Order: sequence, then C-alpha cells, then structure tokens
Amino acid sequence: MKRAFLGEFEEVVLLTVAILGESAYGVTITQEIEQKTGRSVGFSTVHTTLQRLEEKGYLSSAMGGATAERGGRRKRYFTITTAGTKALAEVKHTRDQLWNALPPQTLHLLGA
Amino acid sequence: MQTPPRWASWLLKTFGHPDTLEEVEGDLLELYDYWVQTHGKAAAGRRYALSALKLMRPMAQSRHNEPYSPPFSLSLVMISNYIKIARRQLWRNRLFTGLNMVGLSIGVSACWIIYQLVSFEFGFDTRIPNRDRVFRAVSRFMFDGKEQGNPGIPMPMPDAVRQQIGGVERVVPVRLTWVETIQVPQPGGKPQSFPTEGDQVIAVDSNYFRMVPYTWLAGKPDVSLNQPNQIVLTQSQATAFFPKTDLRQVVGKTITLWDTLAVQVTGVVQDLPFLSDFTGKEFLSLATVRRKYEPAEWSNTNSDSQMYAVLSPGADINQVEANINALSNKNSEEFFKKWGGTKRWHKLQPLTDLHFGTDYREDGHRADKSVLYGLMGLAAFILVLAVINYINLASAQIPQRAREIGIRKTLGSRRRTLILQFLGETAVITGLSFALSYGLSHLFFQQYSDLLPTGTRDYVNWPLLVLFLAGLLIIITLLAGLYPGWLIARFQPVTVLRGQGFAIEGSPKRITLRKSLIVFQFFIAQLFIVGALIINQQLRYFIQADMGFARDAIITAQIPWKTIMDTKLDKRDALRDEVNHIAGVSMVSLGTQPASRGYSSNIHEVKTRKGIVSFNLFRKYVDTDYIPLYQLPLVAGRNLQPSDTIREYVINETAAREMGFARPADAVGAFLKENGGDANRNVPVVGVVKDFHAQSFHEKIKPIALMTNRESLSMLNIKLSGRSDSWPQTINTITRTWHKLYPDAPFEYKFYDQTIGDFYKKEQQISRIINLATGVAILISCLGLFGLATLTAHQRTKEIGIRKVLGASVAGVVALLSKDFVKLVLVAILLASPLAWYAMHRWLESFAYRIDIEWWMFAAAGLLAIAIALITISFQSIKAAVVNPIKSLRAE
Repeated sequence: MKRAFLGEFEEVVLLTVAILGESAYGVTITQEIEQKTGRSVGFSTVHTTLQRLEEKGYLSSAMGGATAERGGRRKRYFTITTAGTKALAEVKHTRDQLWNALPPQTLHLLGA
Repeated sequence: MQTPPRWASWLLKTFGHPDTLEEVEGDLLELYDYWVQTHGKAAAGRRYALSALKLMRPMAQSRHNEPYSPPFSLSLVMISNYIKIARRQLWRNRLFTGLNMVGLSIGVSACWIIYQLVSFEFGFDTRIPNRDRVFRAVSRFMFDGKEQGNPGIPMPMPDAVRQQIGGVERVVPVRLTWVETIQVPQPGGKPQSFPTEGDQVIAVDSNYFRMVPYTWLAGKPDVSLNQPNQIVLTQSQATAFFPKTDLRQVVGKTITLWDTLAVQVTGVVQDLPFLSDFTGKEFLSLATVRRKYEPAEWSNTNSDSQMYAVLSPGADINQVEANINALSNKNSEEFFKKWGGTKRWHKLQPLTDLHFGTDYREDGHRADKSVLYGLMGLAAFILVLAVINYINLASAQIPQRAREIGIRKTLGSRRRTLILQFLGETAVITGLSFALSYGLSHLFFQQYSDLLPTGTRDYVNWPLLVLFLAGLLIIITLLAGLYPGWLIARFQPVTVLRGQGFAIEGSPKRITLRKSLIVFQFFIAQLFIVGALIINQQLRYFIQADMGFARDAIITAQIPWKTIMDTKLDKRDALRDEVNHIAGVSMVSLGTQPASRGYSSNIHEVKTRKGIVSFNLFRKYVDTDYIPLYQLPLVAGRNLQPSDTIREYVINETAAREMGFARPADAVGAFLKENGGDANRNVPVVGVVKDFHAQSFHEKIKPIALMTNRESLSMLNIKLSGRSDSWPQTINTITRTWHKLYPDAPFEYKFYDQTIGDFYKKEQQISRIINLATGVAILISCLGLFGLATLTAHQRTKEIGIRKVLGASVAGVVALLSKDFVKLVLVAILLASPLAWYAMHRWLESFAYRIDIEWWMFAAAGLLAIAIALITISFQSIKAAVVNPIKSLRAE
C-alpha cells in the first residue's frame, strides 16, 4: 500500500475538518484551529492547505450556503474522504506504535 | 458592517486564483468581520490585506470556469471564416473602408514624414567613435544684454590647451579658410576652375582624421598633412578634379588656390558613408595657413578658427571647461582691461549638440530641436485626430454588424475572440492605409522637397524604420480597434437577435463629446481656411499688383564681374549693341533692375527755401534706355542724357516729396549733394518718374534717384518682342552673341517677372504649407462629421419613418438632420473667426503694402465650411430620408 504522507499542519487541518463535520469551510476551519491549538494561523495558509489536501484526494468539496454577510457569495464546504480518514488513521497508528515503543521510564520522565 | 480595504479586495479579485475566488472572497469577508470584533479594525485590515497579498496568483488561469469547452477559434476553418468575413465586410462597406483608409493614412503619412525628418536630423554624426567624449570649444558673449554664441575660439588656444591642460586626449584645430575656386591644371590647356562649397576649404592636421573616421584610399594620415602646401581630397572631389585618373595617381598632382598658391595633393580619403556635419571635401594642411600668434590674438574670436577636443576617458568635462576658461582669461585679461570689450567665456559643446546648435549661425545645415519636438507633437496630434475619426466611423458601423455578432456569440464566440477578430480587421485597414500613405508621403516628398533639408528623403535607417513602422501599426491598431471591439463584445445577443436593433450607447455625454470634437475639428479647419484665403490673396496681390514698371517679356543677366572690375567696358557695350540688333529684341538697357534685392543708398542734401533738407536717397545706376524699357512714366522733366559719369538725376515722386516739393515738377532743377561724395558736387534733378516698388512689398517705397555711370553698369536688361513662343529662338541667338564676347562665362538669364516672384519665396512656401494643412484639416473634419452623421441617421431611423408616415417631405427630413450639424459648424466658425482675424492681422503687418482683411473673407470661408459640411452630411441624410418608412418601421 502506498504510504500516506501528511505534513504536521496538513494533519491539523484534516483533523479539524473531520471534527467540524458538515460545517467545515474556510472560516470555521481557521477559527477552530486558532481556538483549539491556540496558535494564530493565516487564512491564506489554511486555504492553500485545503487546496493541497483536496488535490491529494483526502478532502472533497461542494459549494453552497450563501449568506448576506459574505456579500452573497457561496461557501466551499469540505468533507473528509475515505482516503482522508485512512490517512489520518495511518498517521495515528504510526504515532501510537512509536509511543508504545517508548521505554516506561522515559515515558515517566516525560510526565505522562 | 465594516468594509475591508478596497485596494486589497481589488488585488484579490484581479490577481487571485479565478477558480476559488468566490469562496475565498466570502471567507475573507466573514473573517474580516470576526477580526474586527476580536482584534479591532486596524489589525483586521492588516490581516485582510496580508491574506489577500498571500493569495495572489497572478499567473493562475481558470481551470473549470467554463461550463462548456471553449471552441477552438484558431482552427483553419475559423481563420478562413474570419478572412472571408473581413473581406466581405470591407468590400461591402467600400465607402467606409475607403474613408477609414484615407483618414488613417493622413495620420500615418504625417507620422511617416515627420519621422523621416526627425530620424534624419538625429542621425547626424552618430558613427563618430567615442562620440560622447568629443566636444567643440566655442565662445559665448554677453551682447546688449543677450547671450550670443560664436563657434570660434582665439587662434592661440589649441596649442595652449594641448600643452597646458590635462584631461584632453586630443586637440583638433580646424581653420575655415576662404577659397572661392580651385584651379586644376589641364593637360595642354588652360586650368579649369572648380567652385568650392561655401567658398571655403578647411585647414586641419592629422588629428582631424583621428577624430573623424575617414578611410584613407591613398596617402598616409601622419605625413600627408604635416608640411605646408599639402592638400587631401575626398574621393568624390578627387574624381571631379581628375576624372579618369587612378586615385593613387592623383597623389602628387598640383592644384592652385587663390590663383597663385600651388599645393600638392598628398592623399585621398573616402567620402564619409554616414550623415555628418563634418562636410569638408578638401583638407588643406594646417601648416599652410599657420603662423606665429601674437599674444593679443587671445582677445580675438574668429568663427573661422575652431577647435575640437577629445577628452580622455573619465575626464571631468566641467573641470576641463573651467581650465580652458582660466587659460583664456589669463591670456586675454590684460588686453581686455586695456581696450575694453564684451564679456567672453568658453563652453565645451558636446558633439551630440553640434547639429542642434542653431545659435552659432553657421553655414552648415543645423536643426532646431524644439522645432523637431514640436513636429513630433504635431504628428501625434494628427494621428490622434485620425484615430478618433476611425473610432467614430467604426462604432457608427457596428449596428449593421449586430446580427453577425449576435450569431457568433450564440454559437459560442467569446469576447476575446470577437475583440481579436475586430482588431484583425482594424489591422487590415491600417495596413492598407500604410500602403496608401507610402504613396502620399512619396507625393509629399516630391512636391515639398524644397522645404526639407537635402538628403532627408534618402536617409534610411532600416532597423529603426522597421521598428517604427511595426510599432506604429500596432499602436494604431490597438488605439483604433480596442474601443469598437469592446463595444461589439459587450452587447447582449438576445436583444440583437430578437430584432430590437442595436442601440449603441445613447448616453448623452458621449454624444456631447463627439459634438465638441466636431466643433474643435471645424474650428481648426476654419482657421486654416481663412488663413489660406488671406495668404493666397496677399500672394496674388504681390505677384499681380502693378509695381509701377513693366516687367513682362524682360530677361536679365549679370555681366561677368571681372569684366567690370577690369573696366573692360567696351566689351560690355559691344554686347549691348549687338544684342540690340538681334531680331526679336525690342530694347536693351544696362542698369540695376527697378526692383532688386541689393541696393546702395547715401545721405543727400538739398537746399530749398526752407533751408537744407538732408535725407537718405537710394541710388540706381542706369543708362538712357532704362526708363523707356521699364516704361517708368515721367511725370515731370525729361529722361537722362548719355554720359559716362554722374551728371544728372531722375528722381521718383517720393524723393521729390522728401525734398519738400509739393508738386513733382518743382523738384526739377533742384540740386542734390551726396554726403561724402566727390568734392561737394551738386547734381541737378532733371526729371521725376512716378513712384515704383524698388523692393518687395514688405518695404515702403523709398526716395530713389536714377543716374548714369558707365563704370557701374553690370546688369543687362533685354526686352523681348513678339509672341512668347518665339522667345527661345531669340534667347538662343543672344546666347551665341554672348559666347562670342564671353567664351568662359555661361549666359545665365532670368525672366524678370520670375525674379520678382522669387522675392516672395518664403510667402509662397507658407502658402503651400497652409494650403496643404487646410486640405488635411478639412478632410479630417469631414470624416469626423460623416461618422457622426451616420450614427445619428441610424439612431433616428424610426423617428424619420414616423415623420414620413405623417407626411414629412424628403427635403424636410434632410433639413431636420442637417440642422444640428450646421449649428455645430456655425459655432466653430464663430469661435475661430476672431482668432483667425487676429493671426492674419499680425501676419499682414509684416508687409508695408497689403490687402485689407474684409468681412467677405470670413463669410466666404464660413460658407465654404458650411457647404462642405452640408455635402458631407447629405450622403447620410438623403439616404436616411428617402428610405421607405415601411422598411424602417417594420422591424420591431
């Protein structure tokens, strides 16, 4: 199987899309990341990451939900694809394996 | 709700990726609101702008904007379709195509001609090596509060600069030397003499040839000019002097200057293969004219003594200039202090300025930069007018193509394709107008070549020319084609195809703009029409006005001056007598023509009852046949009697008045004394002739005295008899007689009425230019008017139809359509007339004798303009008026 490659920020964005479910579009994703991670992210960064993830096939998108506050423009809603879920699971699996391989005393020292 | 910075939104819209533009714009708007609440307005603005900047993808192209795949418009079929449509369009609207071509070609011709002139003038000396380091030292003076230039420098300067001033790589002294003719010995015969250009040759040394890149065909630059009495010739001159002689054989031959000095030809150089102000053809060695300079000569500035300097690379020109000034001041200070003199200083004139230094009043051809720039502006102005006309005509044409465009759009043609198609058609018309303007400018160069510096037409810089023409083609096509193309691309196919016709912008503003353009064009045209009318009237007045003497059938010729000098007067008198006996010659006289350019005058005194009157009297030396030949009417007294010396005067009426005599007859018998003339001699007045014009009409009639003086008669005046077709034969006979007496001198005769016409050469040139400009102005105005008339006629089709149904006559409709335009032209006439009057009044003031500006001139010019306008409009208005109303009202 081809190994999924996800960058750190890509993983965060992908996860956030998964968390937000049906209401995931540029604004909510940006705000969610800011709130959950506490780090200030630029919209442009999020936007390009979303584009890249869609190109890789981890996200799919559809237009809809125009509101007055956005000047009548539609939103692009993102949903995670099966490939996306698989990629996330794979990343998590790898991480868990690594964590599990950690010697207990080291784990203790890390404060976990 | 807050609005984010507009510029950032614009950037995003323009340069953002088109595929995701909608959601990105929306998201950012939402986020902006959020940021305003959480971070404040300023921070929100910054964040917004930053995001917009980061999202710019200027090169991005839309990938899935098109719901249908765009047709491939460059397929062979489409291209052939475009060509076919273009050809049909242009052919079907032959009239418009022609008008557009003519209009554009006027603009193009103006550009072309002026480009030719400007590139010629700027092409001088461009191939001199190290051009930016070559300077000419010149002198400047303060004279009467005005700065004046002199191309010369003190004679000792070149040597001093060479010895004492650093930063100068090469000093090149040039001495203009007065040499009228060069005598070339002929094998077994008399030497043949060649006139020099401008009566001078230049004296230089080998430095000159290191500065100006001549190619040596024979001789060596180092040794060919370092001895006295050496001369180097250009190839053309060498061939002229020694035809059929090999150039190497020319070296060593001897030619004579100033009738006495034998100089040896020591070299031949190729003529410069590029435009240059270094026009020398004979280069005398500087050593020939060189001598030891007196210190006092530092105070003397002679325009014949010039100096060029090639500065060392990196030398500071200001420093060198300051040093030269210091040197000159140091040497001339004492002298100026002692003798006084105007303030003088020196400047280094860059070689690039040499051709444009008009204030040095040199013999060579110089150009005025401001005139050139003015002409370039004029070319641009005419071009813009032509392009505006094209746009007017083209957009007036668009309605007729509405259906084609509608169908194209329905079948999937896109805006860009349509605009490109239209630009292509414009390019075709522009190309055609280029061809036409090639002919036009050719014609111009033929007709007006005397107004342009010689060589202008033949100068071609191919790369520049190609660049210029290509650039012009592209610029005109874009300027002229973009707006109509945009109009085409803009309208909705639905409205067109539903048969609602096609209203191109009914916006009143745009119509006003067009109307003011028409007014402006006719304003200019009116100025020119009035100007041309008055100038031509004045010229006709000059040429036809009675100057007070007969001038038909008279030819004049200058007797070779050496004969006069050597007082071989018998020969001259023999000629006169022989010519007098030729059949076909009715009378011969010796004497300065009544009206001539040159004159001599002196203060004369006369004793009258009121005391001594002294006044300036113009003197003409004549013989006794002069007054009858020129039919000068004697109003009192008698003609002169034969005499070898000045024995009596015949004066004109003005002179009699000047002397204080109310009646001319009273002047007869008075005695005149010439100031400083020989020994207080009183000369009696024996006759008075009616006033005649002795100069051009610029000048008032002056007091004149005619007198005999055998020694001073140098002009032969011959009155021919019979019909003009017998004159050539008579002149042939005269020529033979002439050569019998003067075998060396050619018989150069002139018809006197032609000579008088030549007095007004400048005015005739002005008249020709004004006539041309008037034609162009009228043509351009008419094209503009025609376009607007077409447009209005089309827009009012329905109105005209209804009027006709309700009983309007054709004449009524034509009048209705013409009325508005005539109003515009009237406004233009009213605006232009005062200005035209003022300008012409000023022009006429330069003539002492002139026509009066009369009201009918303006009326005639105005009527002409209105008539031209009416004829122009009538093409369209009559067409619109005779259309069957069924046709115009049917389509709804």
